[in-house]
Amino acid sequence: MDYIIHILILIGIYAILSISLNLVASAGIISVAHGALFGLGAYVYAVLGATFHLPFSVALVFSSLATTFTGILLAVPSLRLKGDYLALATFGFAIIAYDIFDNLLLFTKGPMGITDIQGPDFPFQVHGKTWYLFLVTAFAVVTYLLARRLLQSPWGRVIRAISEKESLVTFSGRNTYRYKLVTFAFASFWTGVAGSLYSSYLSYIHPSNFLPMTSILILCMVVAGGMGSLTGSILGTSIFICVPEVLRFLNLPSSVAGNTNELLFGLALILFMLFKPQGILGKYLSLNE
Amino acid sequence: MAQVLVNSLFDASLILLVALGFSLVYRTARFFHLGHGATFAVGGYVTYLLLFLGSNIAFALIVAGLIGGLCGFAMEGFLYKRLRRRRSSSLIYLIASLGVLLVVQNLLALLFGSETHVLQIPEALESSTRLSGALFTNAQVMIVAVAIALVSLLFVFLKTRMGLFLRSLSDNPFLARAMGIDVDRMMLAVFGIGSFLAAVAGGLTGMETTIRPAMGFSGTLYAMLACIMGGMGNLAGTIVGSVLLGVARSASVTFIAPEWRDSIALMVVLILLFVKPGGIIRSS
Repeated sequence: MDYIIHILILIGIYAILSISLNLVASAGIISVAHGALFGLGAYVYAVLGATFHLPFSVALVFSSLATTFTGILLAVPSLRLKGDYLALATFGFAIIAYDIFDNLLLFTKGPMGITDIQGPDFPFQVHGKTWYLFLVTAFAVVTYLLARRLLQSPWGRVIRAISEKESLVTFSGRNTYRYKLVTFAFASFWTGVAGSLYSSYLSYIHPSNFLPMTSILILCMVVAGGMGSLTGSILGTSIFICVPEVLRFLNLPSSVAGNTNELLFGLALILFMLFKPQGILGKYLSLNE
Repeated sequence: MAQVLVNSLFDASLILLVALGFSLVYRTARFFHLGHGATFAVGGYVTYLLLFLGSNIAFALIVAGLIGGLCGFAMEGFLYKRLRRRRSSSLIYLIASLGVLLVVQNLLALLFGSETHVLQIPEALESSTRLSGALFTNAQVMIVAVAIALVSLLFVFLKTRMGLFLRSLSDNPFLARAMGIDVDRMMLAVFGIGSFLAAVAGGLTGMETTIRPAMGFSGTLYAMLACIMGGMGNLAGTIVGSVLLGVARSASVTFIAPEWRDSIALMVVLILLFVKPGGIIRSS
């Protein structure tokens, strides 16, 4: 039972990430930097919590602001680039971020990781991690509702139009750059939230939690679930978290398990691109020209 | 200082071989073929196997290259061709090629283990010379020689009739098809050639350092950076980009710290991308 709760908590945290990435993707931005921002949020929370002993909510807000700020910093130059180059630039950022997590010993303690990260003070004790499940689910639901509201609003319509034919949107008199920037900033905020939740839940983080592959993984979740479909993102997240866990029961040695996971991810990407590029629940063929 | 220059030269040669193939594919197929890294890794492992079984270097490299070319054919024939039929956007190709890279890389890891392997090189190549304060091995000289040879061959090829077809396909696929050029066959040729180069580069890199399953990833990364710096699709620019990147890498290892090597190179390229999105030499 504890195990299932653990899985659900992970799904919840990653769902926040994939929903926010889906939002960004709905604007036509393919960002492979989400994992890096996630890591940034996690590390900021960890440092604030472990070193400065700030309470949960304060640290969460600060880390989310940090990721928003960094997201904007990344987006300002990157959003000028065209699709493929944008993806590469964000991926470059993800690699740099991982190197920083690994090497900047002063702040991140590198490969030793940060331990003893405090979580929120819950009013009363419940069975195991149920409180965390409640907390994470609450945040995930909020993210989902906000994202849906956004996508269905006039703002969302502009965003989706940008992903389909940006030139027309500019032609109709809107500053597409600004729309994209704000969307990206908004999504970056939620990576901080997810990072804080992750940090406090695991109470130990390590650079290997935030590899460039993590950013790719989150993108896989969005692609598989379907761009533009928020429910799809939740589905995609569940798939990509549950399948590796299921494989765990096959008792493969750990080195083989990691490679098998990645192999399946790669295979999934290929099959999806071949047969269902819009994802399982994707409504918009926004990846097709 | 001279050591840095010498190191840069070898670095640049290796990057160049991969980058040219990558650039060629991009010019013709118009997407970032991340599967290039897969052939790079395959080339490395094939070379390792052959050297392990006692063949000589030339044979090993040529066979590795040919097998790499076959992989390129496979990727194009089984995957990219289908995507092309559907008029997929370049993003779909990108994600699909990422899938290929992941599959191949992890297959290699499952088959050969995740640890690094050292290639067995004949001792003649191990001997080093010192020239005006810089140390280099014969193996490194060979790398540069092979790189120059292959690059020259490539440029000669591009002047041939088939090369002409390739170039026209890059310029205007629609018109090329209208003139009767068989796009499918040209694509196979492009991927074959590009993958051949990448595989040989993988073998050479293996000889210079070691091989490991993830090598495809880092190999492609630098190649991509070199191409972007020189302007995507611009072959001459790719050469310039590779040299610059080789210098940047060697310089950062020597003058700054080795662990920041990747980040610094990436930052250089990112800054360049932001400032001059078309690359140093603007492609037409």
